[in-house]
Amino acid sequence: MKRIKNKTIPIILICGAFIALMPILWMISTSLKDSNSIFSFPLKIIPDPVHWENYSTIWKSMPLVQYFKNSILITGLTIIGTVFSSALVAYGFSILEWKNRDKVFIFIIFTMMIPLQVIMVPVFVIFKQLGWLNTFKPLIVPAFLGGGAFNIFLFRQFFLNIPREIIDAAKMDGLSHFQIFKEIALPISKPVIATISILTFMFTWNDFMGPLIYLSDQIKGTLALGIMMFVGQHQTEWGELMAVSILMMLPMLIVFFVFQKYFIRGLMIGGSKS
Amino acid sequence: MPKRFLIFIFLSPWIIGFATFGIYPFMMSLYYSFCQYDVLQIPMFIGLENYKNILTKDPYFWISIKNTAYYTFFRVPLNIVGSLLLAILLNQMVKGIRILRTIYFLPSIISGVVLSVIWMWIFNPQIGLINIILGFFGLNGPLWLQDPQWSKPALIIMSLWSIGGGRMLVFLAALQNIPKPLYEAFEMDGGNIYQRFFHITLPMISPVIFLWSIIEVIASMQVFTEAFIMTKGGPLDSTLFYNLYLYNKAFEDFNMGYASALAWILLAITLCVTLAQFHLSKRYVYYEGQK
Amino acid sequence: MSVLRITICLSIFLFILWLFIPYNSGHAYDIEYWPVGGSSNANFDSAVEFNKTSTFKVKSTPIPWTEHEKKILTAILSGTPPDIISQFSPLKMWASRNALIPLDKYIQKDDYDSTIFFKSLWKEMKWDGKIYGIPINTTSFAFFYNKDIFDEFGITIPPENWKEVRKISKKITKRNQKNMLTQVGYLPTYGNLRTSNVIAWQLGQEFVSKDGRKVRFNTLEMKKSFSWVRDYIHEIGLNDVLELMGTFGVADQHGFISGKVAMMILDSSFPKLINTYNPDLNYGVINVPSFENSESVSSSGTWWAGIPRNAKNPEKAWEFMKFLASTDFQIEYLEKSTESLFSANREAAYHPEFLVEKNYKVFLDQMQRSKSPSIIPLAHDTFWREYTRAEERIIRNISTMEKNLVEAEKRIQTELDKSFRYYDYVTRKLQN
Repeated sequence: MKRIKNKTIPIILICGAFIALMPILWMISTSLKDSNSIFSFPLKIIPDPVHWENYSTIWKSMPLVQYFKNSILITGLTIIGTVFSSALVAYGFSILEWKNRDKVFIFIIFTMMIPLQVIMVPVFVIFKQLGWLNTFKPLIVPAFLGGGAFNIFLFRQFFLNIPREIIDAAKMDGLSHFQIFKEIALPISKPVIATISILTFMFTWNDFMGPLIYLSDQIKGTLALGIMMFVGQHQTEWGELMAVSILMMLPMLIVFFVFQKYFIRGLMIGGSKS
Repeated sequence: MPKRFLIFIFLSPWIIGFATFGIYPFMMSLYYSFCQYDVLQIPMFIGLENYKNILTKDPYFWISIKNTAYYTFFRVPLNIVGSLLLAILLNQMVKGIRILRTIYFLPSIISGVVLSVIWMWIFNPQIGLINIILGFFGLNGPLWLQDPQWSKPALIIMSLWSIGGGRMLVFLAALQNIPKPLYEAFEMDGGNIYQRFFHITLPMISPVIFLWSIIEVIASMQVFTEAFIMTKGGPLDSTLFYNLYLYNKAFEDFNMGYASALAWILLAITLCVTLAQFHLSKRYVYYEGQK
Repeated sequence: MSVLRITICLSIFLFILWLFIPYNSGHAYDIEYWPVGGSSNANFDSAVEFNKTSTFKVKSTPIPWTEHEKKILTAILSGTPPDIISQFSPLKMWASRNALIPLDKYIQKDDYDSTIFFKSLWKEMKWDGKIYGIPINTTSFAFFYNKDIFDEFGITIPPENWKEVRKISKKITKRNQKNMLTQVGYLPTYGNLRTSNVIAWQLGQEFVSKDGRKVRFNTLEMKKSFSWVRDYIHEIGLNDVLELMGTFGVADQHGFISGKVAMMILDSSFPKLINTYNPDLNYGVINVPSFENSESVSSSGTWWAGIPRNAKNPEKAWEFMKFLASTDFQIEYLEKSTESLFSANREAAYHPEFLVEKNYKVFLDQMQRSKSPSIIPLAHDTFWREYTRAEERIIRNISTMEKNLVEAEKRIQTELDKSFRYYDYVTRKLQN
């Protein structure tokens, strides 16, 4: 039994990987084509001739470098804010015990359920009153204020799984909750931190709605907003659109690859004392 | 340090956030749902008229609920099972596993607009990838996005492509948190792989699955981008999802009041569904750290 | 600490520092203009041209086509909108919502000559007796036909009316071994300007009463028009048509450009598109066919420029708007721009150097017969949504034609009534 499984599983995985890659290959191939031949049939995977200039014209079509800086700044700060504030709040809903705790938590989930479209306008008005329009603040500050119900949820589930004995032992050793948070909860939850970082990166990096309505100066834009400029009423600049999209994917890939080391097996809580 | 104060400190980010950016928008959107309001001018109070119209005179409301329910009903289980299976397969520390995980992760980081464009091409009935492959097997592929019967399945298939994304990561983390001693004890007792899965693995990760099914249902009920870019609700309203309909009302019909009423109805529905899930979880979900 | 660690920390520190370097935005400007654009607009900047000869500076910040309405909406809501905006969606939708500043006092002060614009386009700028914008560019629809296919079947005279279109189409239709359509003469439901819409206009259909408050959709003209379209499609075969239409895409996969559809109503941007994606296509452009004895008719939306409410510099904005619409600038724009738009300015549009282009004259003629697509401005999206839905259902024989039209009319009327009720309410409140 074991031998068959050892062979079929890798084959399945590799086939699947190929399926996952195919549209990406199309993206790369499109980015190297002249806009006239993008939809031609039969499909030319390897463009002929190869048009590298898409990768150079994009720097002129929009202020890519500045957009990159802005995107990194906004995304980086958002990740930091999200991880720390959602961990903090989640701790309050898991390790700490108090009356009605779970009911209040359900209320937080409740807030996740309202479609963005309708609270967008009142939220916009609040930011206007605060004078934060045309700055990065509306995009960054909310991350520090709880980081989103979803992330709190994730941390809470994880914290709930920490065996009672460890917490009790720490309390008996005289540690305060802040210390427990810092010394035990956070270090143990590295996979969750990695996951939330990656998820937040993905969401913020590709988000264009926020930058669209809060930033009026073109120079303050982000990459996600910039690529929208390639989609026109009658025509879309496919080659450049794909070229920028591929470049946009690279930082996320790097982050993902690097953070993978936190997914090492053996990071266990039950069974061995830290 | 008094306990109440402690709790307050830990919860303070969320409390501040909600007090400033939560309560006001919530209350305002509720107020707007009782008004006719176009964002640019003052709201006009009309009482329950929006709600009455939605529930009695609006065929699109029911169509969009049906579409969204269909989509959610198929997408959530398929995606969760898919990501779980993938997580199990990728939970090996063999050479090249990091590269494989990255490849599977790739599709989920492509921005919504680009993704939609790619899939519009894949689903092209004549020159798209899927129908060409089906052609190799002698099958005549359907019109996909142009066919009212196949448009939703097409979007569900599209969602499956990202099963290697964040969801799988979370499952992977959960799998890796299952204590090794549990497995060792099980093997010593002489159990086989399937029993091990159902008696150890599944219960241990059930909180995460539960968590994700709640999130996935909520997210699924708010599906928007794909329908907005690829089909605009068609053909024949087959992809008119609730959130898309809401958006049309808010920003194309300039009827934010009606859209707000729709939003609150969605909230009520989602709340019921989520509460039902929480209730079910008491039977199926196992928490390690709880008394 | 090891050298490696120090280097890494230092590079991270420098990186973060670099992130915070502010951008040197260059010269100051006096007013801000938000055109809507794709990147093809990037080669020609109207603000740059204006700044060469003007006493004050305009900054042009293009906003993406997708979601541009939301951005303008939130900008006006913020209280600090740009000084000039440019849009394609019907002006009345914005004017009726108090989003723009009326321009009458500037027009009167300068004694501005509005006769330089096409009449139908200038009419679009009026709401409730006041003028709210200036038309800049437009498109025009005409009838394209594939000369090669016509030659192949020995058709020498292009069609003048819809009966002839139907006759020719029957001859031209080709199928493959599986009996699937590979070539068809004409598809009434393909394209941005609906054939049913054109025929309805040609039959004299008035969609709304003179005061704009009563919808007329369940009419004899609509029934006749939809019947014609439905019968046409069923003669070819409903499923065959749907299958064929499912294979159409953009660029060189476009139905007409790829040669699958021999005749089609297309707009004035298509000669350029055809030249890009299928330069060997041999085609002709003529007036839109008439229905029996009616006149040819077309549709033209407009790109217009307006001044948002609360803009800081309306007078300067007005100067720039006049420049945008001026004959000299329009001529220069049409020469240099990569977009193939028509000028709303008649004098620029009729400039001799453009008339040389053979198809241009047809487009120009069609402009004179254009009707506005903004048929019911206060329920614009509802109207078109219900229209499309009714047409789809009628073609697929879902329910009866009468029922579909009656329901559509009722729903459009409901939305229209709501819009007007709101409009009257706000107007009253503002007057107090």
